[in-house]
Amino acid sequence: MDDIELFKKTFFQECADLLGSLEAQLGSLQSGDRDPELVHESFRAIHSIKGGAGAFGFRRLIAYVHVMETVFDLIRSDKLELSDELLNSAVRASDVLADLVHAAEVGQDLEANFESAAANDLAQAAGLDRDQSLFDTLASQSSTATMSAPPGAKRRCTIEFQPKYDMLRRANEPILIVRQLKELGDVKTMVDTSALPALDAIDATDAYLAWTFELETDAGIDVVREAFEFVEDDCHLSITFEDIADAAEPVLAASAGGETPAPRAISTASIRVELERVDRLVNLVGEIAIGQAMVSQQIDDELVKTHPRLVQELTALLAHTHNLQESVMAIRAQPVKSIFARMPRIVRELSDQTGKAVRIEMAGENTEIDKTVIEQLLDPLTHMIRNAVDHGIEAPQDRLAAGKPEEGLIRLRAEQRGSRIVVEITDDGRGIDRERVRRKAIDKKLIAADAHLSDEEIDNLIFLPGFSTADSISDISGRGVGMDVVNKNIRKLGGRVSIRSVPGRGSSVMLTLPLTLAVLDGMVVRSGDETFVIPLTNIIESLLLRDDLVNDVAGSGKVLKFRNEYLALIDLKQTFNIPAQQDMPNELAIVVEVEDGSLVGLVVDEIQGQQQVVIKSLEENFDVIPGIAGATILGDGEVALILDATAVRELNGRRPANSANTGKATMENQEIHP
Amino acid sequence: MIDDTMQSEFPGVMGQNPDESSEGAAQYVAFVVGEQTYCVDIMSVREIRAWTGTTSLPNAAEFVRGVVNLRGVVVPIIDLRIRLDQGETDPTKSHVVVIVMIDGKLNGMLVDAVSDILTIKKTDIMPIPDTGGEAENPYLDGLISVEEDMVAMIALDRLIERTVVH
Amino acid sequence: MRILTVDDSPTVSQMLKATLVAAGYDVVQAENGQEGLKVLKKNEVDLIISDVNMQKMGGFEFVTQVREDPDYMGLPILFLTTEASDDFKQIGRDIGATGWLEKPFDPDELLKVVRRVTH
Repeated sequence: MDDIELFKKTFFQECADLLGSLEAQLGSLQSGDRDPELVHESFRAIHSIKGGAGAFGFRRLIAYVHVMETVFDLIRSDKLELSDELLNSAVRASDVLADLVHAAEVGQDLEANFESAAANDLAQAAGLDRDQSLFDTLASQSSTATMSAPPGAKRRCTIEFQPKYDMLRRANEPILIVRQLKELGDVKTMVDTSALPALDAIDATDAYLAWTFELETDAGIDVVREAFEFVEDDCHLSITFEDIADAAEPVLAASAGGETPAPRAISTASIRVELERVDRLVNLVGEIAIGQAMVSQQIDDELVKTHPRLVQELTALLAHTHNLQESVMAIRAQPVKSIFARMPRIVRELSDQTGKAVRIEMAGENTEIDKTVIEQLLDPLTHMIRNAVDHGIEAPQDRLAAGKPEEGLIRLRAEQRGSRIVVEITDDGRGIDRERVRRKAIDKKLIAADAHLSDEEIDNLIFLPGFSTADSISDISGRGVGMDVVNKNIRKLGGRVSIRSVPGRGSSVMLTLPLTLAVLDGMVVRSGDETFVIPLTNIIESLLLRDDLVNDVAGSGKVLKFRNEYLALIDLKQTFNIPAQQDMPNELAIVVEVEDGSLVGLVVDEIQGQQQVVIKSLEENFDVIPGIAGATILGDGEVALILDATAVRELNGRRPANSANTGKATMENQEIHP
Repeated sequence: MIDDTMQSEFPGVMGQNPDESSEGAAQYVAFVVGEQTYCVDIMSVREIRAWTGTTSLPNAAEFVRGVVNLRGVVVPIIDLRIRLDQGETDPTKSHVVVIVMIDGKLNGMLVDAVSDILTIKKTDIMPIPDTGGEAENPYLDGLISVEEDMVAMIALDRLIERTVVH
Repeated sequence: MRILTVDDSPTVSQMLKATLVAAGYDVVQAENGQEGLKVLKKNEVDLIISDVNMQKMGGFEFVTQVREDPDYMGLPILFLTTEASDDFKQIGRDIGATGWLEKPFDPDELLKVVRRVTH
């Protein structure tokens, strides 16, 4: 069944959330908070993982999680005190749990005793160990989860069964039980109708009949009882076996159950809403924002004079609309806690691997960002934390020699500033070795040997593609994938990265991210008759194209002199085959930064303004268009396309400047490939 | 999405598939392009609206006139005349766009006018005659004779193939 | 035969659906008791499988409401739960549940129990 893969995907997604939650609860517990709710939530997360693991038969995972579940069950029912030692074991156990989940997800075969130490350690810390540890027992049992009765001789089983009224009230029907017994062997059925009243006194919903069944079966008493599992308390029942040579009742392996009920008073002031509904709401509010833009275009001086009251009310309405939009966007937002919570583990691991003592402090975990942004923030953040431990923090003896505390400190902080979120990763390590960065950049021909750069400019060289300061590519910082990838990923999200560093004192990387991916601030430009939106995050500057700034370079087209470099000039009319207008106005160049950090100049006819636009998908009803990131609807109701500057440059490089009419070529292509 | 009404209130609800056609007959929306009448299954038609200008799409095939804003959804418009290889439509206010759902995607077909709603039995649909390969039209699914006229059925799924020049 | 499942975990819901559909049952689904009641009004169902812990309307309240309607008197209802303790079973029975299933469930076990309570 193909669906199973799909369900597994859902399960692992759920697991990711649950592991994040577990990590967060344990983190809070570690910081000294002993709110019982934290323990309950931890238990719930563990328990849910076990549930899913059971459904898919991840036996190794089940056996392991069961130990954690047992321990947390004891803690939450106050049968076990949560000591620091126990908590540390639990944190380590949750790290291993994440590994096991991951292994199950990718189908990786971990070595035989991968999880034993963590499980036994936890069981021991919880005082659960006996001759053989709980986990080893479970692990060996887990392969024989169900055991059927051994084949044996047929025996006669006599069952007396008299339902009570309640049994019928619960929709349990005697006939279904008879059917089940028949599956076990030959059944002789005798009905006792003596309790049946006179016809006119019968209540159709009441139970008056009693049965005696004689069953010849090789099944054990447990199997027979199972048929009555749901009705045992709603009937008089007696089951007797005859011809029992010796009581060879099959022993069912203890299934991994054994939970005790616990009060579950989970009261959170939140509701679960399908993402689809939220997106619909976001879309609708986007429409309102467009309507608002249309309305505000109608407000002119004339209207202000003739209908001052109307304008006043409209202005108030527009303000409310703006607030409404922000509130709706906030629904998609989630606290960054879910990813921040994974960082302490990473720091612990690196700390072990490198022998450096490192502590992490976090602040602003409750800052909220769009769900999609959060999902894509994990990798860059992980990378930067790794970098900080690997390259930033010094070895303990070096730190002591430099007069610093032996233990390094990494601070992770998130906060909202206006319509953007700022995430800052600061370490108190050695800082950027500017001379080395500079030399490396020259070696790699990223800058000229005599280039004069400010300290800040040197620091930011590390974001250039292919730049890596480590002399040997270490296992930890991730096989040569450097800050340029972080830079690229953050840019994809419409964000920016910058770094500040003080030699000997440490570095601080700052990520600035949009609150949501559903809207962006854009510059509306015109090229010929077409209107485009360029994301503001890409724009460095816009300038009038004076003749003295433009040069023709044979083979490369026109270049623009900007600051101290020459930039490729890309005319949108050429890239997109837009016919030029009769009266050529003064052209403008919008200098944009593309993904690899280089600058290009986009030639347009006019800048029409800046505005926040709601991003619409072109793929929803059409297809991906090279050079175009999406569409939006402007104040006049017209669709405008949002440019993907990086793709525009690629498009330009691929195509000769004066390409033929592409429309006709398409038609011919289609004839060739029907 | 536009067709909320078509969806069940509960995403997981299954098994509600009413028989679309009684006795094999179905309704079709008929429209005119030039001299010829065409039709599409009414179940795929979402709405019919007057022509408005489009925003052109770079690198799109010639028969894609561009996109319009359909109450907040960006919908491409196909010039049926170009697609059927009969030249290009010079649209006026009286031209009409038939919005259809094709494989889950909304598309507009620019046509001259909508002419009728036809009830057609499945058995009345005739195959396109084999004219020797030369003039075969890949965008038609069948022919129906209605009174004295011939109505050609549009093959919607093939209509939106290769809309982008990569 | 149509079965209504009520569970707020997407994983469990999907597993239920896959298992039951593969065995030839029609499945309608809801995320909580409130939705469950709505789905029940629109569909004729032969069995309900319901989770207990859910937002909006939990399984106990849901089943209580279902049983209050005389139309659903003979409708079998199974609780799907992680806590199949005696106390729990007692509460379940008190409000009229036909039976229960432990989570995580084994697909074969699920089908066995479904067959046990349906015609």
